[in-house]
Amino acid sequence: MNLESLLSETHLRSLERETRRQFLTRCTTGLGALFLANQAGKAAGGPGMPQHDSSNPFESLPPHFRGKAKRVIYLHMIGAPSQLELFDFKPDLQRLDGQPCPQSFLEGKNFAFIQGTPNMLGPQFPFKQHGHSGAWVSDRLPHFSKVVDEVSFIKTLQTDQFNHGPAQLMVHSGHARIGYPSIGSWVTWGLGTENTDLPGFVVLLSGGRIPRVGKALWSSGFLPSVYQGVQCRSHGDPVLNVSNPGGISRDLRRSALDTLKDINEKTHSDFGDPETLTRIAQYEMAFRMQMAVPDAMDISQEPAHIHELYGTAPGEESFANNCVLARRLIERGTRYVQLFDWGWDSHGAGRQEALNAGFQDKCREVDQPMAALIMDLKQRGLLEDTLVVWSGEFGRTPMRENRGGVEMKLIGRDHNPGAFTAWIAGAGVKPGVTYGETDEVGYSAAVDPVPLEDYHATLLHLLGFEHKHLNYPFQGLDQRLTGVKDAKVIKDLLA
Amino acid sequence: MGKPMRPSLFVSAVIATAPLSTVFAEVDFARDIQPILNANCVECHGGVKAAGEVSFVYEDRVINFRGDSGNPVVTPGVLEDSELYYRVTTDDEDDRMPPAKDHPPLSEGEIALLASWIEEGAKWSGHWAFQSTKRSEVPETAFESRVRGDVDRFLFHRLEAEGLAPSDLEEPGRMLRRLSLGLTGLPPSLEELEAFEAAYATDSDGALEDAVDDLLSRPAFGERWATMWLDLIRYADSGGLGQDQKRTIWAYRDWVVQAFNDDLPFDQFTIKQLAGDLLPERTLADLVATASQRNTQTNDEGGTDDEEFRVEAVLDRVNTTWQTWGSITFSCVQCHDHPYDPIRHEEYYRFLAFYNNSADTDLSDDAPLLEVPESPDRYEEAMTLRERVLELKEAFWGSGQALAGETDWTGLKSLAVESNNSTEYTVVEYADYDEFHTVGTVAIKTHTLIDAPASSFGKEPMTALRLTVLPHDLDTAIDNSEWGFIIDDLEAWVESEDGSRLPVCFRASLPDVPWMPTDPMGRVGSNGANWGANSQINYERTLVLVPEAPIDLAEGERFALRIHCDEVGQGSFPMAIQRGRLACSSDPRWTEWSAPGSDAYRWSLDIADASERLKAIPGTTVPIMLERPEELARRTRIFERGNAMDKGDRVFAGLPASLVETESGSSYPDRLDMARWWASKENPLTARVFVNRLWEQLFGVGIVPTLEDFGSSGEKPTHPELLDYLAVRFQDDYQWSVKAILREITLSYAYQQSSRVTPQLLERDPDNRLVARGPRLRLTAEMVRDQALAASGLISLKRGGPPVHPPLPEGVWQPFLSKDLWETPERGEPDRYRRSLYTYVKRSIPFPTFAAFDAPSREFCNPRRLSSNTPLQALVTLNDAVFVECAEALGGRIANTADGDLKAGLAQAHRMVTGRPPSQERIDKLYSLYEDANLQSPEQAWTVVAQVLLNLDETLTY
Repeated sequence: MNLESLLSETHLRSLERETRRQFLTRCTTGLGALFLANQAGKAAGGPGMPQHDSSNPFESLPPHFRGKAKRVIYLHMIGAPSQLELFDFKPDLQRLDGQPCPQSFLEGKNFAFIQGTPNMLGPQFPFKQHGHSGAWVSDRLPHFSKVVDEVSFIKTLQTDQFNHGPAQLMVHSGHARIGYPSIGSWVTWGLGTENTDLPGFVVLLSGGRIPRVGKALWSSGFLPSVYQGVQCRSHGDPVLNVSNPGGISRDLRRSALDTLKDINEKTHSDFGDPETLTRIAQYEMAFRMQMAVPDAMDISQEPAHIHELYGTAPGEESFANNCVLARRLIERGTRYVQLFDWGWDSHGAGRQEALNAGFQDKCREVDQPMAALIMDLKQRGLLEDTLVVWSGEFGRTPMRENRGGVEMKLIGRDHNPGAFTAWIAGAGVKPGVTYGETDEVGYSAAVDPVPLEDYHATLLHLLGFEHKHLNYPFQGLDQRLTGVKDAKVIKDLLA
Repeated sequence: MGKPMRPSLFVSAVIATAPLSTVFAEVDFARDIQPILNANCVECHGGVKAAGEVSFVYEDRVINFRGDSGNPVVTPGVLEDSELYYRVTTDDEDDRMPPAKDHPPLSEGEIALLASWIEEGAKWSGHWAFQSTKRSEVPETAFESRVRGDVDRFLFHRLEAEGLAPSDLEEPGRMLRRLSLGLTGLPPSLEELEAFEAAYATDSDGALEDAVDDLLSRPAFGERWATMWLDLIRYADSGGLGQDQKRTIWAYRDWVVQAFNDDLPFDQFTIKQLAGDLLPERTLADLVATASQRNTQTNDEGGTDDEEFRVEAVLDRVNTTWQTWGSITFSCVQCHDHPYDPIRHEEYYRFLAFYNNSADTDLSDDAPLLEVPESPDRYEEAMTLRERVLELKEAFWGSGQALAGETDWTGLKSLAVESNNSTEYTVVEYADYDEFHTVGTVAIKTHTLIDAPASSFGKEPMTALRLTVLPHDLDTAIDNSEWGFIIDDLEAWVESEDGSRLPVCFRASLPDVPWMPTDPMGRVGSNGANWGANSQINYERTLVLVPEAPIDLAEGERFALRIHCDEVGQGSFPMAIQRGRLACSSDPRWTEWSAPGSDAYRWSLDIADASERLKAIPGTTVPIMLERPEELARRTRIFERGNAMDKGDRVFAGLPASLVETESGSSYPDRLDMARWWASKENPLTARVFVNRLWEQLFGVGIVPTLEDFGSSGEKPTHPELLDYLAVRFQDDYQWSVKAILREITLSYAYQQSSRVTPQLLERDPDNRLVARGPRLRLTAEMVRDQALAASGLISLKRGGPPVHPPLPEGVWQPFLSKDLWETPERGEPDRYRRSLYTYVKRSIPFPTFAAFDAPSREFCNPRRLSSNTPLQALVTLNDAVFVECAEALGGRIANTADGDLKAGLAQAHRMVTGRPPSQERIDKLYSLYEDANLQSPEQAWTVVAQVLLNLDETLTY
């Protein structure tokens, strides 16, 4: 056992003792009950449950052990981008192009739309190897190809959901139902945030639509609602209600808040309720947030070379703008920034969702900004302790979709939960690795399959959490992101 | 994992359980022993894992039970014959329990307790919450002069033991505000405050009683308590998963409000919601009540499996029922025996069987639906018609089935079967009939074309044709259903040799069930249209078709059928006939049975007539619970380790043995029996759980603080005798009257105490579990908004009806389905200012104000709201358009005070939002803010002041 793991083990043990002690204190009510009255966690939890100060649920807290990653930027391509057109190069599939799909691929499988016997569909774009790592990337991502040595690919992610809503929930909450906390909520619950003038967990959307299960993807589930994601927007108020109503200046608001504070302080001395003090603090934080959020969200402050790097244009709702925003937010101490980009459901049923049409536009929209994000984080030294993650919610079939049993005009692929690609980069990640291998047509995981619970365990590990111990009692169970299944951390991906 | 000792004596010595004096008298299993076992033993010897066959959850696995060691675990009265005692005291590391490797040993105190327990006879008592309620003896108290009722005696008795004393009474204005918000969710008006204060000055007790009675009688009462209930029952106006499309179910929400306002006894309230459809004298409102269990999520995303999500909904009903009525975390038992409580894995599925045969099947229209008349005056008429239709259908079906049973059917052979598309059929010949089935993948919109030569039929003309549709695998489909079929249209003709076609018309059809489970009021056409298995098939299904005239085929002629199945399940699955056969009969009785003038003929005319009249009544719909006809009943099997794909032994409906004192009379209890069990006085949980919820709503913390867990891993009641007292009062003395029990609680001295707290008391009892002071609670999400609307005078108190769409910040409303519109009424229109209860509840887009103030988004049963502190809350009440509009209106009220006495107006506004007049100092502060604002922004000056009033800590608490 090396020194570092010994230290983190000791730390973990002492945390366990500490939480046990607090648990018992709370059981005996008396002392711990103030904490319980209004605290961020509720009933008794197991070891590793973060212990928040009642008046400051976002206080920065240590993880279970020293994790490399202090913050996360998660880029989710809503609709499930085709791994076979981006990262998972399958020459054999090219050879099978146009041939009827073997029955063995169809038996016992559920498809959302494929009917009868579809034909196989070869990769639609040429692939090349890039960087020292020799990672395969298609020609749709020319900018990203230049940063492949900074990232690691997981080629064999697997899910058990083949419909968007449940599958997106699986990726973000580990469950297919709504009502469970998202990763961002778990992480901000576990770590708090480094700047309480900004939301700890921010959600940014692009692509023109919100994901179909909506806010359930950034819900705090049964965790206290303070840990839900806060959607920040490019139009209107960047955060709901962050602007004063028309005609009320910041000075005037300050005077009003001073009066409010004065009166509330008197209320506290009259009634003696500590909650009143919390409320006073809450209004002061809100006032600061009113400054801090618009400032963080104003990308026009960025210099020209940054706009050039990302391909940004201030004022519009775009993935590129959101990438810059993500960097600005984590620079200021936001813990978890979640980007959702809509429009990757390439069935081929319409132009926008066809591999030979809209898919290419989507690639153009994300290629430069996501490469820029990595380079920008790196040049600022932020990549060392920021984890960047990219994924969809499942993969796509090596068969061409034939909705209604007929060949469609445009080219597309159906949903495939058997294998999909994600990449991760930054803090604690061993760069240049490709983990897992799919079968010869990219249909299922052949070597080193990665079920989502392993993926989640690995992400939590990078942040310093033992996934089994980041849990919360609900419905009689110690609930966790990784669920009840055994999950393992993928060591090969760790630096 | 290390398990530190659990200092159970210490627990008792502080305040969590019984008073000091009772601790050492006699060892009590539930109080003293079970916590030791739960903390140290059940991880390995419990419900999930019973190492060596020993389980400390079950008496018969401990007392005189010989585990793998061969010795009795506990021999009552004999320490040396008790393996348990040996194991916790031995020095032999191999035998020592808990294993020394990663568990600390038991403390001496714990060992002493175990020893005393064994020596005293090892009396095993079940967990407290599973014991029947007992009428508690009312204790005496030294604070008798302050007592207003027995509730106070229980609380004061405890305070005395703790060396504490009750606080003084709250000042009257704040008292009325607490009662008003507590009972109706709305603050008192200025006039009400003044009248109450005047009455209180002359007769305080009388004034309080009058106020409570008045508040209990207001419509707002039901609206406030419905909110609590709808959290539990996970009410929403949308379906959840998938497209989260709009669900029309508000008639149920209104039923709940009405039930509270009518003071429907809680036992009835329970039975109607769980099984109103099975009541012998069911009314239409009883059917509406069953929508409680239709608030489950549906998944209408393309390509999802209806059966998977139907099962999910059933599981959710089980969990929600146990959580709502029993505060038991029953979902634990979905995968294994309960780790702490004596509930077995199998019992989960026995309970599930109560729900497993309901007619709903995750259809995106939420079928089956009930038509609910707009006007309650027409409920009876509608129900009479509905029952009439069902009776007629039964009669029609019964007479037809009797005949079908007597009919001699001849299977058709020499069939040729094909489809209109890529679907392939193959025909298999059997001795007496041919059978067709699909091969490979089935395409959507498949029409089945069946052709039979004259030789297939008998010599006599055909009077009836029987179509049988089957799942591919009849044996497995019973438990693992296949996608079903629906007939949209059916054409038949006789084709002569020259190819000319003579259409065949049918004058009657006889389905195999009296009514379609998903559409009981719908009609199967005389050609079979609308008949099918929607959306899953488990069983062989049959349909008899009776032609207008007997069909006599000449040689060379052919009989042909074209069955149209155009429906697509969940946007992706063909609802086609995948396997089937035909049979015919020449029994002349079929022609008579369906002839004009026959009974069946008249019944079908009457069905049509009654259905038309029912349809003509204007109204809304609500999804309801209904049992599937017996012929289609689903079977229930255990899911091994909770996995629905891995089905184990078959089980029959039943209740957990550890909770049922007497076996029910009927050997196969149904959902109604289950509902009656919850509502019976035998059930130890229902009354306790519900009064505990009421208590928590009023005092901020339950007598059992873990509202969600009355099991042995939940917290114990702080006042067990009081809890039982209230439960017995509720179910026996008040006959389940919610208003009566609330009246008693709110009229207690305890509820009316001042909420001022000294630092000493705060440190001693921060949560106010001992109630040595009055409650000081944060307004709920709904109250925050409703109070602002009320104080500003904008509120509309219109009751019930479709959900409303108050102002919403721009950009929030981005539903997946663009047809789901959020249309905000203009300023001045009442629907802009309705009580929060009536706001459209969309699960995927929670109303931001409510979400910010900790309202749940209603995916699952939510037993307790957790309060949080976040700056986003301040941003809502300061800047959200609704609150700004309220501030403007409240500011306008101040500015327009009679006689221009602005400071008087200010004082009135302060009273409206806090219940008490401001001090002169506070008026001066607020007025000086006004002057300051008036310089900067005269238009908004009073708005700014009103905003401060609406954001005071005193305003946002009560």
